[in-house]
Parts: sequence; C-alpha cells; structure tokens
Amino acid sequence: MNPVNRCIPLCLLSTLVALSGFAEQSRTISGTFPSRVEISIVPPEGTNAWSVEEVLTGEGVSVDLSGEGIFDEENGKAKWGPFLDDAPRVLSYHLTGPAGEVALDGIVSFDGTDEPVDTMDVVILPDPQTNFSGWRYLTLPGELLHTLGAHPLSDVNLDGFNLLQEYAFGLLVPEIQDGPVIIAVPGSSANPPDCNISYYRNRFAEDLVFTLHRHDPVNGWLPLDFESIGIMAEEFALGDTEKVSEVVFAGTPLTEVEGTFLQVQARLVEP
Amino acid sequence: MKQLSATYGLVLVLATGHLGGHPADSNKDFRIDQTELTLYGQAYKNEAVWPEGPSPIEQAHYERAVFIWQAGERYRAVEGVAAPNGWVPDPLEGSPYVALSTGSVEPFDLVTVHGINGERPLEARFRLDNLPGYFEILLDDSEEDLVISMPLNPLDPTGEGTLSIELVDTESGDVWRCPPLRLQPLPESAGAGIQLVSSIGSTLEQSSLQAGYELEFFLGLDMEFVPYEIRPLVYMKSILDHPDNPDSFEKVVGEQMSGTDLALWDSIVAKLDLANRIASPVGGEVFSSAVSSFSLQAGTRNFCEGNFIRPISNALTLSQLMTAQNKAETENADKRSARDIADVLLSMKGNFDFGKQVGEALQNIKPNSPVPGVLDAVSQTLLFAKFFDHYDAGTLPSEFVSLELQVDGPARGYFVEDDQEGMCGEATLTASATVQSAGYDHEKMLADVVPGSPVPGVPGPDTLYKWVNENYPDIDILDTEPVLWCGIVGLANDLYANVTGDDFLKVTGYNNEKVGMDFEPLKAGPGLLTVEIISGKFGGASITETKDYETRPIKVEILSPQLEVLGNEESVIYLAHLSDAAQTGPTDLDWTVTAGQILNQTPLGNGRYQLEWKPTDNESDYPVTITAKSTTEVCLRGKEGAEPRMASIMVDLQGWEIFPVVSCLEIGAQEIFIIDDGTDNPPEVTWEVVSGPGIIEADTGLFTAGPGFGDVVIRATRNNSTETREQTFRVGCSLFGAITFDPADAPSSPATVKSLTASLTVGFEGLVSGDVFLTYESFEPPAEGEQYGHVSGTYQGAGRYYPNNFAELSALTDATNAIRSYPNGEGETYDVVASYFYEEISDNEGNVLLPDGPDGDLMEIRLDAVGYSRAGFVRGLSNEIVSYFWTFSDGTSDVGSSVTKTFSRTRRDLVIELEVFDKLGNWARIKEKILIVQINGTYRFAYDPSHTETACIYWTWPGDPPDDLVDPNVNLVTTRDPDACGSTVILTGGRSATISAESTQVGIDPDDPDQLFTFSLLNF
Repeated sequence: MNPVNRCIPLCLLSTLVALSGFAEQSRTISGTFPSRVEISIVPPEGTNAWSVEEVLTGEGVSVDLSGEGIFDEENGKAKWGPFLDDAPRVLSYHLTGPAGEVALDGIVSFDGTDEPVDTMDVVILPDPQTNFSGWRYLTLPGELLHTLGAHPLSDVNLDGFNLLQEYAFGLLVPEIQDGPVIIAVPGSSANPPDCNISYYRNRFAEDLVFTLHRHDPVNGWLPLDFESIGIMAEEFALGDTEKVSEVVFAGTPLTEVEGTFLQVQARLVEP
Repeated sequence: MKQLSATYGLVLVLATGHLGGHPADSNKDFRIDQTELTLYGQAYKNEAVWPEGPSPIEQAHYERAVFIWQAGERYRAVEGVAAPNGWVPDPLEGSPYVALSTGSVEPFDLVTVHGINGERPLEARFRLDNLPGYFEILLDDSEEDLVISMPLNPLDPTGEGTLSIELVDTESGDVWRCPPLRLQPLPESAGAGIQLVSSIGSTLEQSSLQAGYELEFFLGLDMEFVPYEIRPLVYMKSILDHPDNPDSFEKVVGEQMSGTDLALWDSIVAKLDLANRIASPVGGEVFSSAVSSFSLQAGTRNFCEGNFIRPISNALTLSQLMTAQNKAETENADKRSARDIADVLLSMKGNFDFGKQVGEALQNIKPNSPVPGVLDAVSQTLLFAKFFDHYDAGTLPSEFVSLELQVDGPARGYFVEDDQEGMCGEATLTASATVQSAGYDHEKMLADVVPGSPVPGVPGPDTLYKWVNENYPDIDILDTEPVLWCGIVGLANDLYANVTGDDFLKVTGYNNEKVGMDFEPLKAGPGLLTVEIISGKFGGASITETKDYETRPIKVEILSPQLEVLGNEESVIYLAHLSDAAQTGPTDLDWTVTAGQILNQTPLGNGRYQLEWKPTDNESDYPVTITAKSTTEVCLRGKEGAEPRMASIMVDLQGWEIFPVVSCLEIGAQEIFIIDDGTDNPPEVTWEVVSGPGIIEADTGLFTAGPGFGDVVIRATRNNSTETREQTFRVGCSLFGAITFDPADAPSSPATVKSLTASLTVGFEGLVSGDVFLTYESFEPPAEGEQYGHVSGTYQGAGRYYPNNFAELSALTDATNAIRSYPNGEGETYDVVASYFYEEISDNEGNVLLPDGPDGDLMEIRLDAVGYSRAGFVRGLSNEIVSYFWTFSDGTSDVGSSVTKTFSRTRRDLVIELEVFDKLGNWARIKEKILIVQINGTYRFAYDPSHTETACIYWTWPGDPPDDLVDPNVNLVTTRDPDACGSTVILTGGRSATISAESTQVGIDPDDPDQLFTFSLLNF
C-alpha cells in the first residue's frame, strides 16, 4: 500500500523531525491450527511515534495479540501502538475465525507516513473447532473474545477451571469433574492394581497432546504410555469408573497416601 | 492517597462548553485514524506545537486519542462534558461508557469507577501487566451507583505497568473497557519512604521551631536527649537536609553515635533503601537493590495463637508488609520492601483512624509544649500507629480465637430414620466462640493509663509515651521482626466475650443444611458439622471450624426376602445390609432363625452379611422367622438406650410342584400325580382337568388319558389356599402327518402305493437363517401294478427366521444434557437440544417393535436425529446443528443426522448416545438404553412349487421329545386331522430339533389342495 497522502495542515509536523534510515517490515505466517502471524517492524531511525494496523477481511479475528495490541472489532483490525520510540518490535497474534479465506493487509505509520507492512497474504482458516483459538472464537459469548476473559488462563465462568483446561477436558460441569482429576488406585507397587481412568477430552482438537502420568513417590509425576497399562483414551465417552475409589485433591501429599495415582494432562502444542 | 474518579453518565452534570472534535482528528470527521494518531503521537512526544490546543499536547488528550483509535476510531462529543472525557467512542453510544480522568496512576492510588446504570449487575475485572502486585477490589453497592474502588498495591513501586479495567454486564455479557491505565513508578526522589522521613522531619522541624528551638538544635543535638526510638528519624532528617553532602551526616551525628546507634542506623538504612544515597557513617556496606517479587499473604496471622484470621481492613497493613519484608530478607532478596513499610505508613494517614486521631490531636498541641513532648508526640504517632496496627486497632478490635462445638449426646450419634417422635430426645449442638480482645477498648485504656490527659480522649504527649515506653520497651517503630505482643494485661488476650446464639453464630453444615443451635439430626448420612461464626458486632470478623459428628443412620435390611424355599433344600442364602456396618466392623450383625439350621454367617464387607440357612423339612415349623439384628447399641436421635436395629422376614414353604412332569401319555395310559414340596407332608390339594382329553381323580391325582388325543392341562389347588399349580402334557404320543404327492411327479410305472415312509429333517441353530432339508422315501417298494412306485427324494428349501423383536426403552440413562442453554449474545439464551427417534411400532404393553434385520442374527434400526439449535443468527453467525455424533455401547460409532445401526440381537441391549453441536460449538447430548425384552419369530422356508412333492405322509412322533430338546420348557404341539393331509406341526420353546415322521397309511388325494404339506416353527 502506498503511503497515504493526507493533505492537512498538520502535514508540516511530519517534517519537523526528519527521519533517517529505512524502515523494514515484514509479515511471517506459520502454523496451520491456528495460524500464527508475526509482524516484524524496524522503524526508521529517529521515528517518534509509530503504529500498526492489520486489516483482516471476512470474519477473521485476531487473538492473543502481543505488545498490548488490541483487536478493533468495529473495523476488523489488529492494532498496536503508538510506540513513542524507534525500537524494532516483533508483533504477533493468532488468526482465527470461521473456516475459509482471510486476507491480511497491514499498514504501519511512522510519524504519520504510512507504509504497507508487507504484501497482502491470504490464509485459509481451518475448522475453528480444531484449535484453541478457534474454540475460543466459537465458545466465548459476545465480546468476550477480545477481553481479559479470553486469556488462556482466564476462568471466565468462575468454575475453577481456566479456558485451557476447559478446552482440553470439557466446557462445563459435570464433564470437567471427570476430567483432569487425579485418580488414585489403592494398592502397592508390588501388586499393581487394575487401573481404570476415564475422562473427557476434546475430540476435535488438533493442537492438544494428552499424556498419562503416574505418580512416582520419588520422582514425582512421570509420563506413562496409555497402552502400557491397558488404558485406552476415551473420547468424550464415560468409561468404567467403578474402580476409582478415591480422588486426591491438591494439598494432600501423594507420597503419604497409599496407592497408585494417575492423571491425564493435556498440553497445547504450537503449530 | 490520591483518588482518581472515572465517571460515566454522571459526568453529564459537569457543565462545560460545546465540545468539538478531538485535536488529533485533524480533518474533524469524528474519526481518529492511524495516520492522525501517529502524527499526534509524534507531536506529543516532541512536545511540539499543535495547531489545536492544548499545545503542547497534554498526556490526557493524547491517551484519549489512543483510546478512541483502539476502540473503533469513530467518536462523538458528549455535550456538557469537559475534554478529554467528553470524547467517547461512538460505538459505545447508548451504553454506559467508561472514562478515566487520567491515563496514569501511581502505586497506592485509588481508582474509582462510578456507574449510573445501576439497574444491571456489573462485574469488574482488573489486570495489571508487567508488574507484580495485586488489587483489592472493593465493591460498594450501598449507593445507587456502582462504585468500584481499587487500591493498587504493587510490590515494586518503582516499576511500570499497564492496568486494564473492564466492566461486564453479567446478563448480556457486554463488556465495556476502560482506557488502559499506565501505572507510573513512584518518583525516586520523592519516593514514599524518603518522603515519609522527610515529612516526619518537617514535622519535627516545625514543631521544634514552634517550641522555640532553632534548626541548629538538631544539628547540635545531644542524642542522649532524643528518645531512642526516634533517633533514626533525627539522623535521617539531618541527612535529608543535606542530601548532597554526606559529610554533613558524619559531622552531625557520626561522632555521637555509639555502637548501638550505628547498628540501629544500618538497619534503618537497609529498611529504607537509602544505601544508594547514603553510606554508613563508618564506612559500612553500601547496599544494593536486588529485584525480586513475592506474594503477600492474604491474611494476617495471630502470632500468639497461631490461628489465621481474616483481615477486615482492606488496607495493606503494616504487619503484612513486615511479614513480607521478613520473607524477602530471609530469601536474601529485596531490601526495597522496607520502603513499602514507609509507604504504607503514608497511606495509613488517610484511613488509619486512631493514627489519624492522634495526628489530629497533635495539631492541638500547644507550641510551648515541652520539647520532649513534641518529639514524643511525633514518636507516639508512629509508635501507636504500629502498635495498633498489630492489633488492627480501629478496624479490627477483636478476633475470634477459638470455637467450641459440643453436642449433647453420645459422641457416636447413631440414629435411625424411622424412629418415632417422642421415643427419644434430640441432640443439641452448642456452639460457642471465644472472642479475644485483640485490640482494646481504647477509651477505657486511655482512661486507665492517662488519667487527666490534657486533651479529652487523647493521651497526653508525655504520659502516654512514657507509659508505652515503660511497659513495652521493645517496641521499635521500624523493627525488623514482627513483635509478638501476647499477654498484655488490659490490652489483649482478654476474653472479650463468649458468644452464642444466632445473633453471632451461623451454624451450617450437616447435609448442607443450616441448622440452628438446637441441632437435630434430620437426615441419614454421615454428618460433618461446619460452624461458621460471622460477627455482626465485631466488624464482620469470622472464623470457621468444622467438627465431625457421626450422625450415621443405622438400618438393617434383609435384601432377599422373596427366595423360594423347599423343605428339602440343602441351604438357602440370605443377605442383609447394615447401613453403618462398614464403619463398625464385621461382627456387628447376628442372624437368628426360629427353625432350621444356621450353617454359616459370613460378613461380606461393605455392610453386607450373608446367612446360609438349611430349611427345616417339618412343615409345621413354617413360617420360619429369620432375623438380622445389629449388635451395635444405638441411640435414637442422639439418646441412648434404644432398641437395637433389626429386620425380620417370614419364610414359608413356597416351592411345591406337581410330580412327575410328563410330556405325553398314550391314549388310555394312567399316571398318578402327587404334590412334592420337599417334605414328607406335602400340602393337600384337589385335582382337576382344566382342558383336554382325560380325567383325573380329585383327591388321588390318578389321571387316565383319552379318549382322543390332544393337549391336556391338569391343575392342583391347595385345600388351604387358592394357590394352584398346573401342568400341560399331550395325550397321544404318536403324531401323524401327511404329505401329498402330485400325481404329475409320480413314478411312471403304474403301481399303487400302499405305504410310504417319509422322514423330515429340519435343522437349524438358534436364530440363524439356513436351509430346511426334507427327505422322503416310500416305506416299502411299491407292488407291481400299483400306481406309484418307490418314492424317495430330498428337498432343500431356504429357510429364514422372521423375528418380531420387542424392546422397551430402559430408563433414560442420561438426559441431563439433552437440553442446554447458551447465551445468544443478545442478553438472552437459546437451547441446544439433542433428540432422536426411530421407527416405532408399539405392542399393547408399550414395547417397541424393532424392525427385521438383514440376517436372522442381526437387527437393524434406523435412527433419525432431531437435534435442535436456534436457527438464524446468533452472535452474528448463521446457526444450526451441524454435527451429529452417535456412540453405541457395542463400541461402534457413526456420524450424521440419520444413521442405520445394525447390531446383534444376542446383545439384548443397546445404549445409544447422541451428541449434537451447532455452529457455535455449543452442544447437547442424550443417552438412552434400549432393552430387548422378547425375541419372537417364525421360521419359514420357501416352498418351491417346482419341487412340490405330492404325497400324503402320516406323521409319527417319537414317544418323547427328541433327545436334543434339552430345554425342559420345550413343547411339541401338533394339530392334525388323521383323515386328511395338511397336518401342522408346531414346535415351541426349543432351539433345535430333529423330527421324524412315519407314514402308516397311504391316503392320497391329489385333488385335495389341503393335502399340501405345511410346516412351521414358532416361538424360537
């Protein structure tokens, strides 16, 4: 995009401080679920104030903006700044929205002189159900997506579980109660118990890795292969919980309780 | 403390002139775009001249422009509201908007947001970025408007951060964001700690001047005359007066400082983090500031008792900070926390009531007061501030230190659910709390210690200080360690009150029901009493304590009272359940019987006890009483002496039957039927023939078969009751059938068939479809000249089982989430519903006829989902159900709104779970269980006309059912006409059979269509 010539009396102000050097800006898109967009800006030396606007076409939205960026819902823009210095910055966000094409076109303004961030990019968004950003896009009501409530560690419904946990193990009670709990199976190591652990997990997520952990009294939680102890991961299906005899809550040292303890952990993987 | 106010709506009352466009909006199109903003930012940073005022650009105007740009660029001017608050983002028109009067705050500022739309519940969310700290959010709904007060308590007052505030409409989900607040660091030179000292020093100076002393007095002050506790302040004041001349310090005080003073000095320097400016006068260590962070405890600790109490004051208390400081120093970390102490002392000036009172009192001290009094007055201010802070004076005058729960009754509160009112008393819970005077009755204290105080209600400047100094010589204003003041007679550790009753105690717990002080175990189940004391008298202080109280129900129940009993049985197993047995051990229940023999009593665990009993074979012993009795002494509703809990059943001889069991009797045969109940004295009965050919003697049971053949039903009715038994058998064991031969298929040689032997073999297994084999041949070769010669052959026809499968819907296993409500973004909700149906044909009992499957062993059911979600636009999306997921209990799954499920009917049940999702990812789920209650069907095979064999075969059944009919319930039923072909043979109840038939007479009537052979199997 060419610099916009806004012929206003204030144009003179832009000449008060001459810029030296050349600006460098670029956009890098990585990942597929979701796309992570990085905008690298190296302002011209001597820049006093600069800002970035990234226009997202269609129904695309940006979340998890770095650098105190905000998403302007009215105009479909991700915005950063103004930064009152000439320090280079890398600005990033996650792109999400309904499946389909989204075009990205950005403008960086250095002391009122506009330059394109990069050439326009077109991103094909996947099914939003398949990733955390998209899940938040689908799940969070109203404007919540662009507020503090959309933070991955936010507990927006005040049920004690943050968004990341609910994304992995279920949205609301009672699912979550069968989710990432620690299951204790009484028994000694010499007599391995017949373990059954049942939990809900997000069957759509492609950016989650579920791992089973077993508590070792000496080394703490150690990863365990599901199949190594005959446990099959069930996807949103109730399993056999009859042998689950105790749930150990946080605060009780596991080493002081006889038994075998299992827990399922979900890890969000970047594309 | 500075207070910033943000007002929306309410700001309309502020009368100002007409407000045009924002100065950053250079073309006055009421939109601040990126270019305009950047230009404005450039000028703001450079403090350049801007054509439209204010010029240079003020921070508030610049940050307002940023906010408008971030919030959608378009804006409007609110008439009557001053700039820059009058410029509000246009998209927020019609909604309450949030605007702060400034974009930056400092630590310990109080940010207040006033809302005018108080009819809607609003929640506030806060987040502080880039700076460790926390907020204490105070919601004040006492006024018409929502007031949110938020003291900022960053742990590092020198850092920068961004504070975000949002107001949330909890009903609609709408969010209004405040412009981000920039949290500015405290100015270093005017930093709180130094400022405090400076302030105190100024007070000293002013007071001393008023008292007639010159500043030089301090410079030449003999420190021996300065009270020990405030010497550091004097030192510091001298330093602050000469911040750029450290020599002055040494000149002033260095020579006067003793070793103790030097140590004191170093501690003060360390706490106030002045090391970067001031070195120890004797060349001590120059302290450096290490940056770290730590969390403050949310509550203060009663060091005397070790109990935690909940702070009532929302101000950061000095003791908290000292605890934090102590922790930091323990970790060899942030020395800067000492500054926090000073800072909080500053902040306390506004809300520390007693300190304020003392401070105000100081204003009244006359200038000609004695000099030590002036110093005392200042020191008292701080000393008492700290002193009372330890006890939260003024805001936390008391604390609960103990809570006693007593139950009037045995420690083990057994009771039963069905006890009668009046049989026993009730348990009484007595809860009492001891409230310790952590603070004091300061009026009383003052009266005690400062009689004749010069200022009414305020301690005298000399008396009070001396009193404290004499009684508590260890009190150090800036002491590092928290001082444990326990056992202070007259001030603390007095039993303030013993409170009981609903006025002060709220007793909750026990099945989550609120109970009064008269505790009455109303429900079964282990009880855990939780008593929370909330004082309405002591500033809302509370203490919570729990107490286990075993209000267990005890109940004995025999689980299997309906077992049939025969007198000659070896043993009968009964089970009983004792509801509390799991806790009381396996020996808690005894069985007794009135007759028969107890073979074993076996505790099975989990409250289950087994009795193995050998019934008596003496009929007169019946009915036998079997009793399960708990040996635990119980008390009803908390009172002892109640009868043990027990349960009894009456067992009678329930198993009696007709003997022998026969399948068929030849015509004319006789059989004596008797009654067998396992005893030598079976009940007397009267016999009768209900239907069929035969007679039976009413008293002896002698049955004579015939005349004629057919099914017979005999009945025995007990003489002493209406109880009956019946038996069905057949009269006429030989069965006859006929098969017709089509003359067209007859052998060509002329002959007369005299007799034929034919055999019919039908083989199949279970419910699986298969072929039917028919073999036949003449009994003997035809004689010469007879119409038909030797006939033999086979026929194989494809058979198939045609089931009528009735099923019933089991109880819905899970319909909890069949209908779920979700916000639609417009302040309302919409439902997502999961439901489905399949083709249903109900029988008279409401069971469902399932359709036939593709195979005899398989059943096929078509499922159609009717998931529902709000159509149309929800949150801007065109919405509908888009995903259907089926999960079946046989481990299979499917997707789609309509699916066809095939499953083996041998499973006898199928759990179907449907989960639907709409475009928004909102879901609902239903799970149902289908239980097959009956599989009924007819086995048929197609008779191929091209293989029609026309002959008439008279069938002979074997005398007894085929050997492989092992099922005792099998019945072979025939209907026949011995004079005609077309007999029908019906098998019921068996799963496989081999049937042989033998013709005894030729009876061919080729023209009689009824002589076509038919064969069917039913009820397999």
